[in-house]
Order: sequence, then C-alpha cells, then structure tokens
Amino acid sequence: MAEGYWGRQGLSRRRVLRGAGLGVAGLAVAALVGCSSDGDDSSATAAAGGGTPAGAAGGSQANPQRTPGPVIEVSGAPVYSKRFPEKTKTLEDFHWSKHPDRLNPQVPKPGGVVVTEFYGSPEHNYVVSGNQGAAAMAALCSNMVLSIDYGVFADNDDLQVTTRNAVAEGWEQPDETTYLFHFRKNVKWQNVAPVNGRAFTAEDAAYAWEVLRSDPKSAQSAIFRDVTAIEVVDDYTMKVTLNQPNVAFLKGISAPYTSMFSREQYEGTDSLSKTTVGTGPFIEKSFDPAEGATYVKNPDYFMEDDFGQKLPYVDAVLDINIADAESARAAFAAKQIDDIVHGRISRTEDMERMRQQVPEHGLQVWPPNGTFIYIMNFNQANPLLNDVRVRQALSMSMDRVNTFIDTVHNGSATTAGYLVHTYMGDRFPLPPEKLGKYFEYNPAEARKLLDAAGAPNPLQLEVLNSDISRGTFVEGVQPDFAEAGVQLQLQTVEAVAAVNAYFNREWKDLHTWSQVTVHGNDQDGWAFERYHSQSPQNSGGYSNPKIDELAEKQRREFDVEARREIWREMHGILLEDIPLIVAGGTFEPVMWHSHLHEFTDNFVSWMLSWAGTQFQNVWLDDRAPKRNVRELVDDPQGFVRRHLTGVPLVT
Amino acid sequence: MQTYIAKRLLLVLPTLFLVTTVTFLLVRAMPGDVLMARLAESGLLGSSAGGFNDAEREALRERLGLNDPLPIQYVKWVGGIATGDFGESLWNNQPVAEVIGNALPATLQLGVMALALAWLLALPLGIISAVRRNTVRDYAARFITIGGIVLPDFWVGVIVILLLSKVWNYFPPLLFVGLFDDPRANLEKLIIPALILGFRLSAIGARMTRSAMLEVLGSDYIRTAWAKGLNERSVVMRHALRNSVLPVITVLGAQLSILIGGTVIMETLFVIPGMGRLAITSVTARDFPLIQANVLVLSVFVVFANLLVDISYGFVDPRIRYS
Amino acid sequence: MLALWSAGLVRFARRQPVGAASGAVLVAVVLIAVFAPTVARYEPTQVFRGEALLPPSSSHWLGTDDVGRDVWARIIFGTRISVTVGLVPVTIAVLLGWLIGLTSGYFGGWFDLLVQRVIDAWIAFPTLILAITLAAVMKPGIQNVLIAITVIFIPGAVRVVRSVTLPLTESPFVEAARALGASHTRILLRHILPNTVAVVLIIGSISIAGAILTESGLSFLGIGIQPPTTSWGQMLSGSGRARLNDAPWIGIAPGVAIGIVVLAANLFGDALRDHLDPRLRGRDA
Repeated sequence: MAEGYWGRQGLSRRRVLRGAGLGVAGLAVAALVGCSSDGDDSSATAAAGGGTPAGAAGGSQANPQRTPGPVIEVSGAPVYSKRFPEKTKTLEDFHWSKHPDRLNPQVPKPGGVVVTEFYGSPEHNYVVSGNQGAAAMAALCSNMVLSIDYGVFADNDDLQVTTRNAVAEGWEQPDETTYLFHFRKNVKWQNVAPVNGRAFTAEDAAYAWEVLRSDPKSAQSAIFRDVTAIEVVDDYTMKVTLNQPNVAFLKGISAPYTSMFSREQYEGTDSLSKTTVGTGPFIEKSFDPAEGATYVKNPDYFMEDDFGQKLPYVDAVLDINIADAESARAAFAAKQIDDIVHGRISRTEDMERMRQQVPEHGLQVWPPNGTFIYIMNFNQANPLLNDVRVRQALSMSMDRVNTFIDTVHNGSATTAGYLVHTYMGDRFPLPPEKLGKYFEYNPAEARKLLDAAGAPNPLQLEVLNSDISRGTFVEGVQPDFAEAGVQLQLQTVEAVAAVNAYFNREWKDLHTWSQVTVHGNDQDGWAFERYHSQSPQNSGGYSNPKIDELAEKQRREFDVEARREIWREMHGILLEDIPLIVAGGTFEPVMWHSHLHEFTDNFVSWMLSWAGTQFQNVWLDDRAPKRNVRELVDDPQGFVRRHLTGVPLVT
Repeated sequence: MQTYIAKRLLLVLPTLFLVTTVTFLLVRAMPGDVLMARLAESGLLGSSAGGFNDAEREALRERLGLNDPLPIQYVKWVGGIATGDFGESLWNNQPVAEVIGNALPATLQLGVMALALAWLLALPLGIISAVRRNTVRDYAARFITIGGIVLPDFWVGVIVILLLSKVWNYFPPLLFVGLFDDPRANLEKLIIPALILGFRLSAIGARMTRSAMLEVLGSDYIRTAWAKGLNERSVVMRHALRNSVLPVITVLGAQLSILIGGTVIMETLFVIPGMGRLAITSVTARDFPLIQANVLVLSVFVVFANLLVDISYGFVDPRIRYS
Repeated sequence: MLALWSAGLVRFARRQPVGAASGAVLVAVVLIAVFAPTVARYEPTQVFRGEALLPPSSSHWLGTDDVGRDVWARIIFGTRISVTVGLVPVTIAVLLGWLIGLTSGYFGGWFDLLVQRVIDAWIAFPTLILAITLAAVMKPGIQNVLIAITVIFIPGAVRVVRSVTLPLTESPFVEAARALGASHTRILLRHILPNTVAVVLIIGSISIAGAILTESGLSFLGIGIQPPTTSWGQMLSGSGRARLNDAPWIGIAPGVAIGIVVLAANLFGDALRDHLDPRLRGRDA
C-alpha cells in the first residue's frame, strides 16, 4: 500500500523506501520465492542447508525456462477477506505455473528496450551502503559467486542456491566449515575502464570477498562474520574456511550484496561510488538520482541460454524514476513502462483498474507469507514496555481481522507471525488460531493485564511513523486500542528524521519503522537478527536468554527438518513473549504487459535485490512498443542521449 | 537610472549572501545527515553490521567535511562557488554543477510556458472583469480564474492524470527531450503540466489586473478621457491598461516563487527531470552541496526577476524617482 | 454604534450582493467550526467497523473513508482547523507585511534598502523547499503549521504594500501634507494607510485561500496537522488523493469544502475592496 505521495515516503523516491513504506518488517526477509518444492529438478541447484556439494555445469543453468512451482493448495484463500474480489479467491489463477510463459514456452527473441521503474538508488557503492537499490543496480551489472534461484516460488519451501547467473560453476563442502568454489573459465570483466575486459579469476573473487569481510566500511561484513580465511587455490578455485558451522552462509553470499567488483575500481580513481563495473549482463551507461539509469547489453557476457543464444536478450534497460503512484499506473497503462510492481497496485481497486485498462497482461498476486508485515516495535528501554504483560496486552488490543485486514486493507491481507512461516513448513495463510490468544482481539483481557502491570488508565503511547500508509494503519487501529484504554498518539515525521530518531534511540514508545537484514534470504534474518539480544538489528532491545540460545542453535543446524523444529520452538516462545506487535501482511500483485516475457520480478525478489538479475532473461515480442535505441540516442539533449552516447548500437 | 541599476546589481550580493547563509544553516538544522539518509535508504538501522558504528560514522563525517566548524564549512563552500566549483554530491560524487545543469532546462522551459499561458489567460479576463464590472461577464471571468486557485495543484494534477489514463489510456511521454531536438515530443511532455500551472497563476494575475484596472478606471484622467468622448477601446487599452501595469508587474515577480513551488509538484507528477524533483531528492538525501546549489540557482533567478521588476517601475511609472 | 454597524452592513449588502452572500458563507463556516459537535452527527475519529469506503448514503451523508470514518463528520471538524489556518497566519502575515511595507516604502533610503534585501532573499528562497526543510527541522504540530504559513506569506505582503506605497509617497496630496508640516506618523496614518487598504484586503483574501492550500501541501510533507486532529488538507492529501479512482467522495468532499471557502474569501475580498475604495463610490451602484 505504498500509495503515499512523494512528500512522505516518496521524499524517498526509491523503491527501497517505498518498500519500507509498506511497513515491510524485514525488507529483510526473504523468500517467498524459491525453487520448486520437489527440489530435484536441476543439478545446478541444491538445498542451501543440505551441504551437498553440487558441481554443476552445462546448459541447464542457462535455461531461462524454469520448472513450474507447485500450485498453492489453498483454494478460497484469502479466507478472511470479505472484499477481495471474487477472482482472486482462487490464487491458483495468479500462480507462477499459470504464467503464460510456463504454459506456452516460446523461443526468446533478442532485441528491444525494456523500460522499467527505478531499480537503482542514489548511490552505487553497495559495499559501503548495504543498500538494496545499489545492490539491485549491481545485480544488473555484475554477478555473485553463487546466486539464488528467484524465478519460481513455492509457498512452503526454502530457497535454493544455484550456479545460474553466477561466476562459479560449482561448489563443494568437504566439511561443515570448509567451502571450495570452482569458477567458470569464460568469465570476463566488462570492456569498460578500469578493467577493460580482462579475464575474471579466483583472485578477483577472493579480493572482493576480503573487502566485504574486513573493510571497516563494509555493510556486508555480517555475512562473513564466521569466515576465518579466504584463499586462492588456483586461478579457478577459491577456498573459504569458517570458524564455526553457519547454515546461512551460502545464502548470505548468494545475495547481490556480494556482487563482484574489481581491485582496480575499488582502489583506483574510477570509483565504485561513481559507477558499477562488473562481470554482468548489462553495462551501466548513465545514472541520475532523480531521473533514473540506463543500461546497455554487455556483448561479452558469459551466459548463454538453452538454444545457444547469448544473454541478455534485450539491447538496453531504461530504468526511470517515477515518483508518484498515480503517474506510474498511468504510464503503465499507456505502455510506457513494461511492468508495475511494489505497492503501485497492491490496492485491489487499483489492480482491477489496471486489469481493465491493460487487457493483455500477466499478473501474479504474491500472498503474504510472513515476510512483509506491518509491525509496531516496542522501545523496551521503557520499563513499562519491558513488562511482558504490557506487551501481551498491547498485542491483544489490535483487531487484526476486522480492522487490519478488512478495514485498513480492504481484505487484501492476512495475519502473520514472528518468523516466516513458510520456512517452517506451514502453509499460507496462517490463521489467527495458530497464533495464540495474544493475536486475538480482546480489549477487556488486555485491560486486565495492563492493570496487573500497573499501567495507567488511559495509557498514552507515542507511535513514531514516517509513512502515510503506515499512518493509516495506526489511525485505523487507534479505536481498537482505545477500547483497552490505550491512547496511541501518532507522530509522523519526515523519513530521514524518523531514521535519525530511531538510530539515536530518540523514539519513545512505539515505532512503525522496521529494518532490513543482509541475511534476508534465510530465516536467520529473522530468528537471529531480529530477536537475538546481541543483534544490532534488534533495535527495540528485546532480550530473552532462551531465544538467544535457540537463535544461535538454529544457525548451526544443517538438517533442514531439525532446524525447522528449532524455529517452531522459538516461535512458540515468541508468541507468548510478544517481542513486537505483528499486525499482518498484505498481498502484493505484480503486473506486466504480455509482450514482456520471463518477467519474474516481484516484491520479494526486489527486496532482496534479485530483480536486477532477471533482466538477462527477459525478452520482448513483436507486440512491444517500438523503442529504438538509435532513435533515442539521436536525441542530442535528452536524458537518454546524455547518457547513452558512444554505446555500440544494435540495429 | 544607470546609477540605480548599478547600485541594485551591487545590492544583489547581500541578498544572495542572506539566501546562502540561511540555506546553509537551515539544511544543517535538519535532523540527520547524509549518513542517516543512507541508513534510511538501506534500512540497515542501528546495525553495526550494516550501516556504521559510531567511530566509522565519525570517520565518514570527517572525510565529508561535516565535522568542520560551520563557519569553515561555509567559507569553503562560498569560496568554491566564487571559483565556479559547486562541489560534489555527497551521494554519488557527481559534480553538483553538472547535476544542476542537467536539471535546469526542463524547469526553465516549464516555468516560461506556464507564465506565458498564465498571462495569455489573465490579461483578457482581468480587463473584461474590470471594464464590465459586476456584470455576468465579470462574474464568469472571476469564477474561471478563481477556479485556478481553489484547489491544490497536486490534486488537480492527479485528477488530470487519472482522467487522461481512464478515458484515453494516455500519459505524456516519460522521457524529456530538448525543445530544439524534438519540439513535438518536448511540447507533448510539458504542455499539460504547463497548462495546470498556468491556470493556477492566471488567477492571481487576472485579479491583480482587474483591481489595478478598476483603480485606474476610477481616476480623474480616465473620467477626462471619457469626457473627451474617446471610445472604450482607446480608453481601456491606451490609458487604463498602461497605467495599471505597475501592480501587475509586481505580482509577476511574486509569482515566480509560486511557480517554482508548482514546478516541484508538476515535475514529480509528470516525471520531468528538473530542479524541483532534484530539490526533493537532495533534501531527502541530506545532500547539502546539492540542496545549497539548488536553492542558490533558483534564488538567483528570483532575485534578478525581482530586480527587473523594480527597474521596470521606473520605466512604467514616471512618478517614481530613483535616487 | 450597533445601529451604525448594521446600517453599514445593509448598505454593503445592497451594493455588493455577491460579496454579502460570500460574507454570509464565511460567517456560516465560522459558525460551523464553533458548533461542530452539533452539526457533525458523529465523532471525526469514530471508526465504523466493516463500513470502510461506503459511498454517500443517509447514514453517512458524504460516505466513509478508507478506515471507516464518517467523511461528513471529518469535514465539519476539519472546518475548525481550516478556519484557524486560514485566518491566524494570514492576519499576522498581512499586519506585519503592512507595517513593514508601509514604512519601508515611505521612508525609503537605507532602511528601505535593508528591508528590501531581506525581503528579496526571503522571496527568493523557494517556498516549497523552505517548507520541506522546515518540515524536517520542526516537529509536526499545529503551531508549527501556523508558523510555517506565516513565514511563507509575509514577504509577498511586504512587497505589494510597498509597491503601492511608493507612488503614494510621491503623490501631490502627500507632498502637500508634508509642506503643511504634518508629521510622518500623521502622513502615514491619515494619508497613505487608507489608500493601501484595498490592496491589503485583496492580498489578505487571496492569502486565506493560499494558506488553506498550503496547509494541505504541508500535510503531504509531514508537518501538516497530525491525527487525530482532522484538517481538510490532511483529508485531501492522504486517502482522498490516493482513493480518487475508486472512492472519489473522500477526496472530493474536502476539495469542494476548500473550494467554497476560497471562493467566498475571494469574492468577499473583492466586494469589500470595491466598497471601500473611495474612488469607486457612486460610480455604479
């Protein structure tokens, strides 16, 4: 519901903040998306937790035609909605496996220009910033050592690590703390200064990882926190040693936060903060924080598809910054952009309008699985909020079903818990009955608990907020809380001011903001990063020794089922201990014009910055509006011209 | 007259000094700095793993010069401007001058188009209103122009976008191209926002024209002109309009800042890469050099426009002496 | 005294029927603000469960908004804020602007130069950027909204008053008064001030509209009026704008409310101007 005007969250024009505007509890999070649940579809993928070495190679990695995921079994969902349109009641219709490209695979056609909304961010240096936007840009222009198979989503499975779109062609794990990565031999840096097309070797990968691990400015050092040594074995082999088992490690290094960059660029004058040069499918030609960015095809890219065609298919990607949601919808309907995602159409009515205005479209509705959630965080330095009874009472003071789901979100939302429930083998949707009594609305009981804790009546709590849609959420639940004698006072401030208050702990009681973790593609991003008392992400200051113990334990458990069991135990405790108030999650529709094929962008993939990697697989058919790069370039003054000069053009 | 102009030009300097000082202090009074803005962007709040710990923050602030005493920062910045160096963006190290240079043409063109449209509408309506005071035509003209100021421009903009989209599936081109490169595409992109802005500005213009005209029409020399038996056209156009130009010009000057506010919103809604959007993005990013340069450039325009207004008083109204 | 007033009112109403009607509308708006709890039917913050986004009906005259609150109640209570925002900052700004513009234009010299430099800088500062930075600097709240709007409207008033004062100081009747040895105060108050009333009224009436609109803009920027207090600008810029497509009544209602007040303020200002301007008296009745 990132519908707000630029003035609020759009002061944050980028998608990151737009995402944050969604009240996304963990941009963090991860993964709705994963490979198919049967897990044995491709030799190139392996369950990350399995520790199974999978030396993978060959054409299958380059195969853009992915195996369909399982159809969601829940029909009639969302079960709590009174208003969500009839059509969406069976989510199967919108499932990936019903994607036209799945039902009717075609041979990709090269050429054309994709125009999309802003993926970039106002800065490049993702090493320093740990910024999704910067990471997404990097994912267009570079590769990771390994990547995550983002294309298909399963509702109950874990993510799969893959060598597809990665510089490694396989990896081994001789023991729990040692990893050997084998690199492709045909990888070259882009033919751009300062690397000028030289070959990519294990030396380069080791350098980039070493910087990420040990440079004090690195925002990603947490991924490498258990790493004790990164060694080059030979030109195409790298050995990494950990001081303790870390199940999340492989998934951590598969996020675009670890895209490859060169020593020349990091240490030289062609700074990484000015442009992104990597090994990837697209070469960055321009970047303007207000306007957007342009990328052209890298003719020397190493990946090929099944048919022996070179990737990427499209000649260029134009990434335009559209600040306003209404403008974005209008531009999409007018075929000026090829896709529309991320809160632009999360409101049912807006989605329906787009469906009518754009008859030839593809559409997916991503159900909430507990990854994008609206939360209120407690400042537990406040002794009152450190009292578990008060937290329980406040959690019971919110009417999730009537207010959050049906009123504020018009039915297009569900309840959610503290951990990503699909990781634990649970199915969508997670009903409130499974969440225990503190997730049910009970103002009388809440008042009793508040009285027992000695809370004043009425209890006044300040809620710091910086976003219009989360503001609406708070306004909506204010009367619920009032029933229990709790007065929520909404304090809406400008985005950076809110961050400033948060960072400096200048918020009083509650905060609707939430954080990201670089470990987002693993449950660890929640189980440890959010609830462990020593985790810097646990900004509310929640502390429970038992949770700390379990959070550390799940990190070392390689057995998938045993690890799930730990999470279930944790979740049981959290449901009683109420570390924060979880309202629920919203549906996230993603729509694209039918002329755009193999489009797999979605809220989750973008949040995890995978969105960039998909553009090497998308292609445009004949119905796409003719956007000739040469024509665009012949415009001597405009945006594209300014940035695309000197580009090798495709006719 | 020449002395006056020279003097006024000289006095532009203290004005700009005030503007730069206020901007400089105001941006630094905002909570947070570019590092906080980065954290806001990355979402890595309070995390030493992502983001920065206190020592690293200090080091970065040091490197960016944010720890220098304010007067030193100020002198550095003004000194840079004096030598034509506006510094680099704190976000992505692009030269500020280049960023501003890219954004200026679109805003200038939008502003000029809006002003032209505004006065095309305002003058005739204002004159009709005054000459046909308290008639149906007066009220009609006043209703039309007041229509321009009763609703916020963002709201009008959104309704226009929504209607264009729902009725014709239309949205102006996303990419901005120069006027001389592709006049058609350029005008297609800018005409709708310029119309919205122009309509808004015309309200003030028409009202000022009307009231100034009324004042003049009530004066003795106009009575004399009527008494001489001059026809209406001659009275209105030759005598009245000429003498009512002064307040109208004043409003023109004052309109500039409204215009700049309006371009911010139009640029946001209609995806125009101009100064207004840059202002928003740079404030959000706490990109001090960029905000400062942005305000400075816009201010220079307004200051000189107002200077022209003041000077033109002397030409238009001989009663004013410049001493 | 009372008789004198009512006689004046009657004369005004007879000469300026539209202006009088507009004045009546403004008075009605003020009355609505005062008696809001009686007129509103519901509390503005009352959420009707399961009744979000209902179109206008007999139980909700203007429908309900996106969290299920009665739009009519919110409009009526919003009147209070809009009246405050329209009157308080504008009055302060116009009075200050009047004082500064008058003295600066009359005395001229170094004083005028100094004032004009400050005003130049003030005007030159882009309003919206000023608002955005103020939004970041100040904590949200009604006082700060009033301060921000006052700050925005002062320089315009100063400039316009000064521009009217300049020719007046050179005019024959002022020179005559000077020759007769009248004091500055007397000249300013008796000769110049009355001649600036008209322009001040116009600036004032336009600014009321501008102030109400500025408040809506500030609502966007995060320094607007904070819930649970309701303002028209807040309604317009929040769900009103976002829901224009599917629930237009949420955004149209505050838009129309703003439109009515702005229109009335403008027409009233015009009428008052015509009525007060001595040169226009009797020209047509």
